[in-house]
Amino acid sequence: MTGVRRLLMALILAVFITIWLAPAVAIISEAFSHDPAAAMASNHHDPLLFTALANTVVVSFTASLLACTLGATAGYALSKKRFYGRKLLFGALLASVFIPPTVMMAPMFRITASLGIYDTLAALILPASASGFAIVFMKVAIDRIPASVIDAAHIDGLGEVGTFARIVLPQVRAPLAALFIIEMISNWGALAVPLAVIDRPENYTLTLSMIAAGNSLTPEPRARMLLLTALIVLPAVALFLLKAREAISGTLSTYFKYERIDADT
Amino acid sequence: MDDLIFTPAAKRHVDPWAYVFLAPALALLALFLFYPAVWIVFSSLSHEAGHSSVSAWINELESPSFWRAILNTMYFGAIYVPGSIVIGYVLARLISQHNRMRWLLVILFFLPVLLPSAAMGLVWRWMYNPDTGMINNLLSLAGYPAVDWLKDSHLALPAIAVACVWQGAGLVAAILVVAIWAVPREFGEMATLDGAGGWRRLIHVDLPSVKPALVVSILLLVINALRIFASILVMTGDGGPGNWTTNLSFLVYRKWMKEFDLGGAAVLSIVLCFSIILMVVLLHRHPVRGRESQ
Repeated sequence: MTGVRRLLMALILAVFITIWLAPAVAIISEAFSHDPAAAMASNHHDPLLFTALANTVVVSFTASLLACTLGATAGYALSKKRFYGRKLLFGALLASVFIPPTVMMAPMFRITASLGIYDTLAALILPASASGFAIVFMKVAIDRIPASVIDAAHIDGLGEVGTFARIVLPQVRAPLAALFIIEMISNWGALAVPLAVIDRPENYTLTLSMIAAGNSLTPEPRARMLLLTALIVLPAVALFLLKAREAISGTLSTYFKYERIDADT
Repeated sequence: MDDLIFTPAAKRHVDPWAYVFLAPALALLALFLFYPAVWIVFSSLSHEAGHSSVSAWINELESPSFWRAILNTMYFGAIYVPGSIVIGYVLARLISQHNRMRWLLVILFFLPVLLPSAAMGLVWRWMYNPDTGMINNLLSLAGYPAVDWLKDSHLALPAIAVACVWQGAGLVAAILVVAIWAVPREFGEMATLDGAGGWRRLIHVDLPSVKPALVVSILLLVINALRIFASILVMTGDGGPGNWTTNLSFLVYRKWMKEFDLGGAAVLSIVLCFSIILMVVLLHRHPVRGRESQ
């Protein structure tokens, strides 16, 4: 390849990088178009903002942890056990991955109301924990463990629970970590179902209070929204930078289950 | 226990432990997935006395806002899917030229994918702001008048689609970069030596070599295009101006949350789910077969 062409490609790449970074510049310039001290002060005296942050942390952490646990146990059963309706269940779970969140709004409202958990954090945690994606993801990961390994564990006298906890789980540590990150990110920014099951401001998550701030007409919501955006975005970015490779290859390997992307092959 | 080990036929039997491992997940899934699915179907068929049980279906199929939403969904997809694929492919090719910086570049372009759609919508609402937004600032530097992108009935939906391409192209780039690395470089170089240049090389060598990844990307983008909701809510507030940015997914939300039309929302939900399943079935067969035959 000629030097001119190389230079041209580098230039095009630089243009793209500029465009991709522009929204970050938009956030920063938005920040400096207000008096930062006043903005921080008004946010500081807003207890509901910290409630929203605490709610978001509690909900997304608990829901992701539950989804990973249930994903691992149910994924193990789907991958290595025989039971009636196994194919049907797997098909239903695979299809559930594609259900758009808005479709679930009305049913979630109704179910949380009849369970008596409407407008509580449980109404945010439990629906998010019932993740078909998590089960499919872990089933695909556990499929990679040969059946002979499980049989060998049984022969050596390990019980069912022992086999799962001491043979299966250690082998799927990387996919589990990736799944936890994916679940965290999606729960952290969830909007549709929370809109349907939460009513009072003290139960708002960050995204809900962002929507509420955007609709109100008070003069300071912009500074407040800026802080909210930062709070919403930062954990995802931090988690991602910590585990970038695992997250990307973990996400992709569910789509490319016929192709190994991880470096550990 | 010993029987299980020494008689392989016994393995074919149902293992009761399967239900132990499944039980917790099934309990939650029954409440929050299976029951809702059944409930939606029944709601779409519920009716008042004197009306037929398909009246909600007939109402929806006859309503102009339904067809407007279908058109909007397709219009959005027609910008979002090709836009993300073309830009994502170009990005992937550019990134794979760099050996040392490639992970850094992939991370940079993939970061927007991690942004929750609601936050992405908020950032782009600032970008499109007619007074203080970056895009209008650049326009006025070039001497053009400011445009209120999100309030113009013809510009609002394309503007949202462009914001979504910013996310979609990064996703496609990450998928394609991985696929491009798996293809030996000699492939393209041999084709060039054989005299295939420019477009011919692109169509006959470069694109087919990453075909499975391309099909997966298209599949993900099409599904996204049908699901998109949060960014429309944040950027326009109500799917406006008029109905011009209300897609099928947003109409489900509006029917239920704003118009309290449960039957209508249920009908639209079923239409939406079936269009997604149709797309998955149409697009998904392809890559897996192609890869397995190799």
